[in-house]
Amino acid sequence: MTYPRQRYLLQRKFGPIMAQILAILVTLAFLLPILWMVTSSFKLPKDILVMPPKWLFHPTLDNYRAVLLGERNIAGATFPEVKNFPRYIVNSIFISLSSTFVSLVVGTPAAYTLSRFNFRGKKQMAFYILGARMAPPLAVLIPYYILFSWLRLLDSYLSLLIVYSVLNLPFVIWMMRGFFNEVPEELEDAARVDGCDRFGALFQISLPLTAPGLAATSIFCLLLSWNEFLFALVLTGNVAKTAPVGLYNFISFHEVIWGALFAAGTLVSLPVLIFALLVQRNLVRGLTMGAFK
Amino acid sequence: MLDTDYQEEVNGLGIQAQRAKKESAAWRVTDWLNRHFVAITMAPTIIFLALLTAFPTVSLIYYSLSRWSLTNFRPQWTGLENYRLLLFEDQTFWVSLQKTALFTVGAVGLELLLGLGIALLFNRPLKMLGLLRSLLILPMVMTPVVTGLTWRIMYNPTFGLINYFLGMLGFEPHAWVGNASTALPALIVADVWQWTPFMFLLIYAGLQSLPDEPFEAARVDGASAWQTFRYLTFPMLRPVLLIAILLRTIESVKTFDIIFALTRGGPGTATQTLNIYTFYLAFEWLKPGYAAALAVIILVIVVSLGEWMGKWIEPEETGR
Repeated sequence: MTYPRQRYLLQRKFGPIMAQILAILVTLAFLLPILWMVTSSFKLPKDILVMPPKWLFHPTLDNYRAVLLGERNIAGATFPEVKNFPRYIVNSIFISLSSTFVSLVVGTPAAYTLSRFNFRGKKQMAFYILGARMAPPLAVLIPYYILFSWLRLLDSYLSLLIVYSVLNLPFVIWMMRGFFNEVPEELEDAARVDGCDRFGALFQISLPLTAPGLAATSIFCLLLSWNEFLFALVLTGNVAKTAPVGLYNFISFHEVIWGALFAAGTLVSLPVLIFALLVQRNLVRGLTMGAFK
Repeated sequence: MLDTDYQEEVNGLGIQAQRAKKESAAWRVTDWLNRHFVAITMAPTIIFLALLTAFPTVSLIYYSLSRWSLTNFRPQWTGLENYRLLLFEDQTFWVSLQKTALFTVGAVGLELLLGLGIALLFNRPLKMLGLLRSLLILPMVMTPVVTGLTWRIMYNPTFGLINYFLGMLGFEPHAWVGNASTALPALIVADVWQWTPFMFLLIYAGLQSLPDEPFEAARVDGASAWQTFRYLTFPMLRPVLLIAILLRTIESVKTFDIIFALTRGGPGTATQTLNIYTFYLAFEWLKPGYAAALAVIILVIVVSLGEWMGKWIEPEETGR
């Protein structure tokens, strides 16, 4: 048993310090794999493949040169496809941007209508959209694989563009609906009295007011498309392959080019991490489809 | 005086202008568009949603009722044969179902406990709180396949970080991913790393939204930390916890990337969840009909899980 005075000291003085230390340690523990990946991407093979891990080393850009310029001087590796990685990054950027654009164009007006109008079946519609996002990926992928192989659309940008736009739509609608709900309707009423029509009210009043929400929604969609792996793995070959699938070019049955893999992994995930920091306030809203703000 | 004159003039012009407008084609188009605003804005979305749900579901059920190969588009109608084989003769299906259940329960359970713990830890005036919180949520936006590959390297028995840290504690190096008995726990740890921040964020947001008064009262009455948690925090947080569990459970059943990158379902069938098994059936062993039947079963599992868990949650607690 501790005396009240001691217990007071423990709780009031040491408690906060312990909590602070613990919070920092927890955060570091969660950052460790990311830090390890990023630091290893600047290491020469001889510094990567050692135990204990080297925390101090001569940083090198060789891995990035191998990944981005196709130089093959890393541990004598000769992977013919390695030089395609920049192309996969461009593919990823193109497909993410275009599918985000399509989902936003299709989903934003619908989100606005769901937020502003009452019509028959509205509630069912909203829950249907929510449920659509639960669709298991393979249940969507198999029919699309068969459809696209039948249409000879495998390994095309169009196939991924269609699939990603469709997959992201429920997120767009639910996020944007939440943002539209926050725009006071009186502003639109005032504009409508002044002779603005419905489309004018949407495009000239509500949409500009939800611009930050629109930005957050786009970034969220970009993250989803950029990170997607399974559909890209199955639906693309060498032409439309995206960067996450391209990582497998550094892994073969015989060997793994560790340094290049770390560098490519960093190139794929670092933009996402930076974007996430920009929209972190809205991340929860996206990930929970608007159940939380 | 001047004002009324002016007003009349404007009104007059307005009426004339409106008459002229009503006759123009452009006005009629705009008017038509405005009257069908709901239909016009909803139609593209309904088409897209049909592409996401109705089209895959219908074709999946059709494929699942036939024997079918990807090289030849002439499916042979076999009725419920695929389902009979799956449910009564395919041992691997039941193993995969069990692995999915173990993975989901293990991962979601640990994520919930850790997320709750960290949220309670962060729910106090800490220094650098904003910075720590921003950094803590980074794992959940990591590209899942990069997460899987990074952890695969971290588990490497010769130079991985995990064995290095365990070695400092006096453990022998161990091939965590290569060993059938430790592969699933190793996978769960990687998933927990990625998704605990998500649980943390939800629960933390929930904690922040709780009212202050009951906690003030509890403090005045001298309640212990445990009592405060047990009788105040936990009951008030229940809806948030339920939604968090629901969201994570469905996502866990759907997990593919991280498993594929970390273990590829192996060794043997040690981490072969339903998704991995379906993937191999459809795209490696080229049995799309059989894989479609399995995908239908996954669909049924996910939808009924969602329905069942959705019932725990009061409608108003889901936000809208």
